Amino acid sequence: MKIEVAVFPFHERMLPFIRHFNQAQDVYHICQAIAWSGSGLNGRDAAFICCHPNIGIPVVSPTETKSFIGWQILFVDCDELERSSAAFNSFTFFEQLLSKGKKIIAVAKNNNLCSNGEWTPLCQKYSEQIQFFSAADDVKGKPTSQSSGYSLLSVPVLLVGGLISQEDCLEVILALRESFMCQGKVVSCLTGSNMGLLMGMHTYTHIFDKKATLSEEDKALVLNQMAQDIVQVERPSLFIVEAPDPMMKYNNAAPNGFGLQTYLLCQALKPNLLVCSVPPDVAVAEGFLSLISKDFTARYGVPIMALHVNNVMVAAFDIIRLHKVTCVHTNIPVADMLRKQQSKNCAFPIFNVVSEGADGLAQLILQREALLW
Amino acid sequence: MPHPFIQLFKTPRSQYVYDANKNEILPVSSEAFCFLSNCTRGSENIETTSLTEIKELRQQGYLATESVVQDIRHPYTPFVGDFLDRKISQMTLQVTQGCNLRCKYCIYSEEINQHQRSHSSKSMDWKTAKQAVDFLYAHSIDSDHVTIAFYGGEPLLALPLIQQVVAYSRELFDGKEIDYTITSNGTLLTDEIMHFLVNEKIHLVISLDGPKEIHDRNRVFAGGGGTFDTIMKNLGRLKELDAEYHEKIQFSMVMDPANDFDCINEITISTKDFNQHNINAAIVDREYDEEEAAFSEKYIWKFRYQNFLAFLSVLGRFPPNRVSAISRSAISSLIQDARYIDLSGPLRQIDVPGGPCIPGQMRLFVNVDGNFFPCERVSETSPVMSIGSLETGFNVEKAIYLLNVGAITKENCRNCWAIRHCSSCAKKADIGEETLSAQFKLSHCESIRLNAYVKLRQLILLNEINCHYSDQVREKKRMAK
Ligand code: SF4
Repeated sequence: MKIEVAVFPFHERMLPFIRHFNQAQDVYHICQAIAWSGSGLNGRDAAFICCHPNIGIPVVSPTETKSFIGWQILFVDCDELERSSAAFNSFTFFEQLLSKGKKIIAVAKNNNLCSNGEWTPLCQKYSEQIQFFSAADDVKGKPTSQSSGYSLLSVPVLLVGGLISQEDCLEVILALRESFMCQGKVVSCLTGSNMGLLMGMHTYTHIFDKKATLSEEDKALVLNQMAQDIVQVERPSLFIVEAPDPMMKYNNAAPNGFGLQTYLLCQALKPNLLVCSVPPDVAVAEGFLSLISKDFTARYGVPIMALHVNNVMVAAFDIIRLHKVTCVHTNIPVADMLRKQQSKNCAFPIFNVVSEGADGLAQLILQREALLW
Repeated sequence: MPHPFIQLFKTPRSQYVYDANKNEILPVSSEAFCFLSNCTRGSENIETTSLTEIKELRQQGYLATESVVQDIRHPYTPFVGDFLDRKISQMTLQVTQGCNLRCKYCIYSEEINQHQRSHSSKSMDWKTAKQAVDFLYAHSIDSDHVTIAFYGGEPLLALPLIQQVVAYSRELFDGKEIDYTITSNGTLLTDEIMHFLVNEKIHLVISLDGPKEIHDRNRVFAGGGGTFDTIMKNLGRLKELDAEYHEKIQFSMVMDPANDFDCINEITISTKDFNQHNINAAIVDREYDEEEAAFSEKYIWKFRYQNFLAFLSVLGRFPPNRVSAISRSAISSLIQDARYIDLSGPLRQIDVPGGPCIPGQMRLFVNVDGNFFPCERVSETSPVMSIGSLETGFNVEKAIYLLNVGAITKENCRNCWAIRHCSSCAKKADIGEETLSAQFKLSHCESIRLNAYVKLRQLILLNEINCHYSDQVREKKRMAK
């Protein structure tokens, strides 16, 4: 009998996690997603957040009494909690559920939560019921004495990055991981999701943390050492890493991060293969993605191997209005239709991991990987 | 004889060609300029010229005689339903149709409106307002930030409803950024209302048309008498209560160009309670009474002179505080545009004139009865502008039709040099019927093209005087490779 779990606060980047978590282990079962009431998701299926097919996990608001019912453990994403401007008092909510005997498993990029702010009284009062996982405490992610400076990894590195946003990158990674694991292969994953820590994956959120005091060079070195340590412990046949930001500048009005963090990551890990997540309309201009691939080869040292077509459209009118790239989700059948129209003109194999799973993509990776090594 | 798809520009220093297909401005020699102007008049043939400069440009793909645009269709056409389902960013609630003023040019006044509703005492009820907020909630999943705007009539006549909406939506949208805007005539601001606006951080937009003699000419109480003194008194009180809030008040200025521009402008220089930085000036809207705004000569030359001073002040050659804030704000927007002129890129086979937004996505207007319109500026009585209701949801087909307003004048638009800089939207084709009018739409094109021409010429000027946006106008040598 699995232990029933709820996640809080539910957000877009949590969707791949809750979609794959239940498959990935035998102890817990996520049965409920608790989102800020303002998300507009209450009463919907969790997959609605990305306009994906339903996954059977309902979203409730923490203000509803039913948010307390039907589970024993709450997974809390502390970084998302910190980012939010919600007036809802999460710590009163935590206190209520702890007083009812429920447990909290919290994940964060930093490891000083218990001695910090509003967590402290809860940790003192309910020390048995609260457990923390932090990126900074991820043992395999800590540089050890055996690490010896910068060196290339001894396994192939697959980079999964988004052209315009990180849309579906985690989904691609988790689906590939599941597919490879079914084939008995060991894969190590390094992503920007703290929730991944609960699935035995690793995260670099503490390294790219705005408050981190590391120099850019040190960030690359720490990432490299972290990856070496992971490889040493896990002995994977493939190392999958998520690009920490969109891979290219969008335009002068919305530079979209310039792909700077991804550049840094690629200096650290020298990826051999790249799966790029693209919006369904980008391959309209023939040859466009081939040019992008050449640019990536020069900039990141890796050409595009395959595409995952996501279901987001850039909201162009927000570019000048807000100076940032914002998107709208279209439904998967529309995205699939566009994908089919465009696959004729496209120089790269195109997949949609959300609608068809990752087995085809995994197969292609194995073929290319065999050529590499 | 085939004409090149271009527009020519001449400045005291040089001459330029705007290539409409490429959406680029190129400097050309005076000989080439003369030749191209002859081509546009039909007295020379661009295809048989021996001028090396022209031949080189043509080899590089410039100066084509055909528009590359084959069809007019907005790229978001297949996704309009998604945008309306998931990404509404602003909802404007018409909380009342009542107003305590009777402005002479008001689009809702009985005398002048042809295709717009008249003043009425109708107000939105709580049930409709709540339903509207719930609708916004359910249709903004992909928006990190939403705005609820209160509009009238004079919205402050419906203060209790506004307060109820703010309280309800604050709670409902907890965890998502939400802000509020109110567009008011500024005459009903009591201490209680001011405290409410300040405490809830509601962005206030006040309509003010100029100094007392101009403002009071049009903006009068329903019972008669100008409103200027009341507004100024209220603004003074608001400043006393919260100077920081007062600083952020936005002024919406409706300019009647029959007046002397210096007189209109005087308020921006001489009135201490008028924040120069927050002016949004527009020419009085006469579209729905089928009249054109009349421009006095004094307005035109004084406006141009102020724009000239604004240019000088941008260049650090004239004290900014002695220039019309209206002109400075216009020049600032121009500089902003200059930075992004090439964002839209060259024309494509399937393309669209620059103007329209997705109807209902950017500023969905919900009237007192819960009917939907693309924004608050369109006619509520025009069937073509009705894009749904709280009862029936969006009429996506209608929204697509309005978005693709360019398609009703496809041949004109695909061959129009100003297509990238066009500001036309469905409102300019609305004659109060079930469908849009191509003829009415085309009647605005001359002035739209003139605006585009003036804008591009100003951008060239900015480039010539060597400001920081120089890379916006392509250097010929860069493409000579
Ligand atoms: S100015 Fe008129 S013809 Fe030109 S693009 Fe705009 S609407 Fe079309």
